[in-house]
Amino acid sequence: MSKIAVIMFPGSNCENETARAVEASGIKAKIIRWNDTTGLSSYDGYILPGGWSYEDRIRAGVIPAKDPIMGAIKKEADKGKVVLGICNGCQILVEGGIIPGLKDEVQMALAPNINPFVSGFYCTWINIKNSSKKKTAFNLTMDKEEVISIPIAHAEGRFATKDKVLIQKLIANEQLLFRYCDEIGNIADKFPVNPNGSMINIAGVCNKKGNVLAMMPHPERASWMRQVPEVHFKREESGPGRKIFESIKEYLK
Amino acid sequence: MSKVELFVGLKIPDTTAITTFHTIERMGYKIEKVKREIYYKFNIDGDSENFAKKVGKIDVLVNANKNKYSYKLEKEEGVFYILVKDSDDKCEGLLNTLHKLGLAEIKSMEKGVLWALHVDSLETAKEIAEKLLYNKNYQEIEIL
Repeated sequence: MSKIAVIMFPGSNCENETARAVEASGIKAKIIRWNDTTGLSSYDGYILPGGWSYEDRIRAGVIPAKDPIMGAIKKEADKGKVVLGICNGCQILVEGGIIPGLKDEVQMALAPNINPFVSGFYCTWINIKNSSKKKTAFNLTMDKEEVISIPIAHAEGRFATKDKVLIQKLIANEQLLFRYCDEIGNIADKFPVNPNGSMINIAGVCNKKGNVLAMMPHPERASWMRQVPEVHFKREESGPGRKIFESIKEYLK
Repeated sequence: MSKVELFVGLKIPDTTAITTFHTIERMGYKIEKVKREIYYKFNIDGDSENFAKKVGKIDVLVNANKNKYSYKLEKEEGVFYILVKDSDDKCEGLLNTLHKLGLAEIKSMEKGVLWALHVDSLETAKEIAEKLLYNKNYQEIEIL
């Protein structure tokens, strides 16, 4: 059975539910502390879960991005292993320059949300679309342009860059894996479809190889139908977010 | 139109500055001290002295139990001061709150984080800022 390390930084708070969602998809999961790199390379993949690592000091994700464990994870990612960053994990991958990873520098940011009604932290259910033609470790079990309902919970989730050429490159490379959309898949760049003002509705960016993904929505919070609002039947069935973990399982086969 | 600056620091231990100090050390730089203050700049229509007396008492900006404040940056020898601001932050929410609290004379304002780095040179301070203290994709820096 494949095994995934879920990395717990000081201030992570989604490691347990992430590990449960991974296990429910048929992959062994183990929670690993940020200061313990022993045996790290024995894992098939790594997940950086959500939370507020280091209390978001300086800027969300920047302190853990400098931790030695991230250097070790980058090396494993370069070998083709799977790395998924969810919410705070997404911020860490971007602040570490691993995503989008076209240059050896920080090319994007997760800036504070722009929301016409709520300042700061915003938590809701939104829709994202599998918007890349590329088959990656994270969308193997999804149909082309499939829309899934999934929650977000963040204050700094707005993908931003001042480099306009970069966005064109990400589109050309099919690296914009998930984009915010409405229930039927229309990518309208306005609130509430785009819940945080993210540039061209970006919800998740992968690297060029497709083995590393940084996404702000929480798939582990949509892994059982019982987690999905207004659903009161077949509660133990797989929820929409499970597909991302099941895709990792397919990829690791 | 006149301008009032407000520098708000902590009189209790600043855990963010402590973590920042250790991170800078771990990145391989020699550093003696890091200090951090929240910086506000108000463009006001009216008497700046009167305004300054009022704004320092607004507890949204200054909590007397933990904060200290000043209206002028007192520079120390050998310390480099880097102000980090979000490029597109017009402080609309905060401005609205301050207007409601009676500071109607504020026409616009800016907010940022002022880092005081005790390092060997301005070049080192700039390098640390680029690698750690700001993300050029949505923020900008000013050397004070």
